[in-house]
Amino acid sequence: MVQEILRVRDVKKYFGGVMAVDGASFSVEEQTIRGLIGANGAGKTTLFNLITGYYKLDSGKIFFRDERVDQLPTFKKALIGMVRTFQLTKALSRMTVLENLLLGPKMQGGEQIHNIFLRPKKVAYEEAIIVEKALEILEFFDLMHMKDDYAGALSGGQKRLLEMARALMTDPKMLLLDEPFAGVNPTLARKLVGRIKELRERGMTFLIIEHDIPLITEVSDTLSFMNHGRIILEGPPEDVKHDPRVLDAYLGGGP
Amino acid sequence: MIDYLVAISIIVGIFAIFAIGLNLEWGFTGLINFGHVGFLAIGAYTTVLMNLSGAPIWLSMTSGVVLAGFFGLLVGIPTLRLREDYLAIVTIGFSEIVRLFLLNEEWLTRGPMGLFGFDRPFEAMIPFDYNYFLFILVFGSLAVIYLLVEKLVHSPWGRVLKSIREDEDVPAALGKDVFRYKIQALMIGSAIAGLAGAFLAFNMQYISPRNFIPMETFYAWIIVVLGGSARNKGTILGAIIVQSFYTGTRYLQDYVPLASHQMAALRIMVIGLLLVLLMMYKPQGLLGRKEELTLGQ
Repeated sequence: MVQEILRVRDVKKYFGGVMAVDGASFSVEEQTIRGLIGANGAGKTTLFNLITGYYKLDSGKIFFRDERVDQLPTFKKALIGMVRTFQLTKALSRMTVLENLLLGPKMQGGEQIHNIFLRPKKVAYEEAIIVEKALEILEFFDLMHMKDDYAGALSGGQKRLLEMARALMTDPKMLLLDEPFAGVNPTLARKLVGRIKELRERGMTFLIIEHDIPLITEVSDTLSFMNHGRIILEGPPEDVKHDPRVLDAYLGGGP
Repeated sequence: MIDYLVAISIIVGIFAIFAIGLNLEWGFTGLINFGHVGFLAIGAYTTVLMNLSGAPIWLSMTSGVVLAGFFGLLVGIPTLRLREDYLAIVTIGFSEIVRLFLLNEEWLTRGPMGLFGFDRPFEAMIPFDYNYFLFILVFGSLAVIYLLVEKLVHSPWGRVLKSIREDEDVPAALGKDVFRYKIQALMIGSAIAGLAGAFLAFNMQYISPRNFIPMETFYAWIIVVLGGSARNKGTILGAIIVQSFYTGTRYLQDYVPLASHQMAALRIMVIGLLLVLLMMYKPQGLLGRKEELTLGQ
């Protein structure tokens, strides 16, 4: 029996008089990869911001693992397993690449002041484990040689990889990726697709915004198409990709 | 001569402690606190008032530190959820409220008359010049504060602070309660300022609201920027340069054919010039890292 991990119900968001998300509803099943496509301005990133709590909804409901979460602050959503990356990458510039990753793991003992002084051994032990894990992930993302450089010195594509690597450090249940392949070289993008599928096999769920249609078709189990703030089409990637409305949005066409 | 050096060093030490508190807030966490002097004042007045009403000096000092930290909490709760510039506005207002309160509530603080006649730690037991003891006390405390703050900023806790400084959306997305960390940084920084306040009182043996004008906050900023923000060693170096220059030149008065008010103005001009030169030739601060400035966001 397929479990829904994320359920979005009739979510609306207006900015001034402009509707950005206009009653979007959809569900994502656990352990699947969902692609979200749509023209620029369709409301995809706004929807991400609503799901992850960066914006407050004007109306609607969001459930994560059957728990209503639309009122939760962002960090609490991350703690229950919903983690995102950003379209405009947010590398922590004046921290090293390694430090960026070490920030990831949730609820580290050393993030509490009293533990630093009272349980230094536990903190050091935990840190060693985290470092090991971070190095492993850096290796995969081809960032190992940059680990001691400032994150601000990475290229655009590398920053995108860093975002994903950092998010993976949290062991999320569900990862929301906002254009993860933009600016990433094709070889590495292929590798990422493989990694994403592998992580799904291990139980992770993905919601991915992407404009690269061949890649998103390849990686997704289901594709949702968003237009004017609503999800208007959903189904197997091959079907959605060839729908006239999708072709219209991506290739232009009549008014 | 030695006495002069000791006297100047004590002031350097006090300002180094004061500025390390600000460095934790601004250098590591990115909090713009323009009212740091308010917490210095709370530390100084609490210590002195408690002692004058009969509390032992150590208890008075501890109360000063704790109360300064507590006011960090009070100021932080309504402001740290807002955008960062609001903290700057609120804190500068807060420090002026503190100063004006001290100036006007004469029943408590004797207003502009100031307070004196309070104890200093171990004063009765020190057989030699008390300043030598104060020197040791201040620098011992500076060493402890420095080590504590270094330990903190190099821990996972400090890592979260730095990530907040860089972009607080990121730690939030990773499950960190950003607000809590900012509050903690502001409380610790304020408590450290409170400790500096107690030492300031011991050093001057007299405090009045005049000692706590907003300019003191900006001396701390100058020290932090000069040394290189997020570099505690730089902060100490900055304190040495700014305060030894500022205080040391007072002793030059006898040798310079200028009236004292002209001399005072000249000193500030030179500090200003120093800052301009620094920004031109070493904008990252004396011990800052140049690469950091060239990084894009």
